[in-house]
Amino acid sequence: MNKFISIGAPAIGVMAASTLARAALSSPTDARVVFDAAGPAGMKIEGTTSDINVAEDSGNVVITVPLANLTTGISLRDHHMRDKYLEVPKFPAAVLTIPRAALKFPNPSEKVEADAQGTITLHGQSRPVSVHYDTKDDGSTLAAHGTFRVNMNDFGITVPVYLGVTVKPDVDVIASFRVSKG
Amino acid sequence: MIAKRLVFWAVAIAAGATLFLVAAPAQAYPWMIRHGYTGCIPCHTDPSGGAGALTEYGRAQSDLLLRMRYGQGEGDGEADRTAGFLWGLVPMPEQLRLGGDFREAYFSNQADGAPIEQEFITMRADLYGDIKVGRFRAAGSIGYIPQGDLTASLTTGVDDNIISREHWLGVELDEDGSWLLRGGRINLPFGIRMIEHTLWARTLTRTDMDASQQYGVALAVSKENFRGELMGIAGNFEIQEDAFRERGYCGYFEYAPTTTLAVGVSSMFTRATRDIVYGVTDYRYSNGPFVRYAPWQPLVLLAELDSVYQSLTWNGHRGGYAGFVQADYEPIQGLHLMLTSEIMNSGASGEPASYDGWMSAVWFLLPHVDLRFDGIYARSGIAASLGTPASYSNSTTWLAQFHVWL
Repeated sequence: MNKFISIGAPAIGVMAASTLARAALSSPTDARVVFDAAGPAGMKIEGTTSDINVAEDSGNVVITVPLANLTTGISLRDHHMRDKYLEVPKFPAAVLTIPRAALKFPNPSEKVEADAQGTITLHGQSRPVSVHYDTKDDGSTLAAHGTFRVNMNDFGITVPVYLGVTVKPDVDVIASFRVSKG
Repeated sequence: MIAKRLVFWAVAIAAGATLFLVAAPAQAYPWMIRHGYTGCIPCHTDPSGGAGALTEYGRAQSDLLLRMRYGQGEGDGEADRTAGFLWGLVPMPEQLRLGGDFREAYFSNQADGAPIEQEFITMRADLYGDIKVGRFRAAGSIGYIPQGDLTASLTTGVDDNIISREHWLGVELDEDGSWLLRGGRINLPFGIRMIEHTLWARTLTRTDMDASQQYGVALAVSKENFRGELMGIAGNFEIQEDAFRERGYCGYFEYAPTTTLAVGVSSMFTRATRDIVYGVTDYRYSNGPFVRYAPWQPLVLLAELDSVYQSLTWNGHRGGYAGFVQADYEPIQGLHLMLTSEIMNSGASGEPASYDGWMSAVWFLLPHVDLRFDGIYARSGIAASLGTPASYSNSTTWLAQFHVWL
């Protein structure tokens, strides 16, 4: 298990994009991206990060998630993840690009649930991704939550194998954050 | 007065015997949930954990996450080659997992009105293995015990017996190894498997991992968010008279909503024509919840509460309970400081509840080596009898253990 991958952080981008159209481009707060990878016989690996940068570029919302601070709770596993599989020194961030027009936004005190199509760039390769998300208007802030699944093989990431334990290539991503409506 | 004194002596002897006559489990560390391990299979060959050999992966984790690193971070390198069988001196094929345990203890017990007991005890001297060929599995243990563990003994001496705590054949029902069907002598799947085998929740429910194994067939499952095992109990065939063998079922189910929280329930029912303690036909029911939670990586909370009800033919009923709460604090890797508190009522008529408190420290000082120290103060309820009112007996136990595993 000490060698596995984390590619979940880009999910946060979709939620950020959905809220940014209504909110000022403030940095998200309470950001948390969780990726769930699985090994054999119910083995579960959870990694998290709260690093995220948001920008607008040519009608797209571009979400950049630095990968250097992804952690799983076990240091050696983090080293393997960053250096051997994600190759973070070569590919330091995951980037999600999503057209601003593709996003839906809630009215005050309402909640919107939808799917959005975007492009995720990870490990130097770009692939389309569909994200299921919901966004809720809490008055002064917008709260967003979303999920999607990626496959390591699609991004040329070696499937981790360590001492007889092989990590499954599918990784579920769950992300949530708040953004000020400023 | 004489009767009361006799009761005190009996309690003292019983308390001593409880700690004395049963060996410690090998490596049952449910507080590994602090590292996000809610299940057992990645590290243990037993699907419900605790017993038997470690996998190669489990050996690596014991080196990386269990032992003291003396300034070297667990991320500073790969697992040391000494993590392997016999400190890595004997390379093993992946299909064969071998292990062994030796645990020696110094034991001291002082009960009110009773002489102090002080002994060196060989708690465990076992070898065990697990072989996997395709989807087929075979596992077993063999050991020597100077005293006790008679219900796991292959030989029939009063002392100095050869024992086998478990031996089973199994087949994995899927490629993932998530489902295991096995038959043989198996640890009863009930509650939290932990090294403190004398906890009242284990002794009252008769589900400790020392000598309480039973023969039967069990189906175990381990998935990402849940695990469980259900066993049909055919009896303990190390007990020679069939009338004393318990038959029924035993099982648990545990759900893990996060990687640091797991909540479970256990259930057991057995019938014996003659109960091994009470000597009459006995229908025994045990049920209860348990939880493991790591709110912060250095701290793990464990808790379990079980009800035990016995219907003793022509001898009435006994309804009791046993439970514990334990906090395991690991200020630096390899050093564990623990507080444990227990409550128990065995169900005797008019018996007041018993309480105890443990202060424990475990130091995983070297690869395959740990030291453990326990101080236990118990206030044991004594039911009224022979005109003597219900009362309490207090005892203080000190235990120092040296443990080495292969």
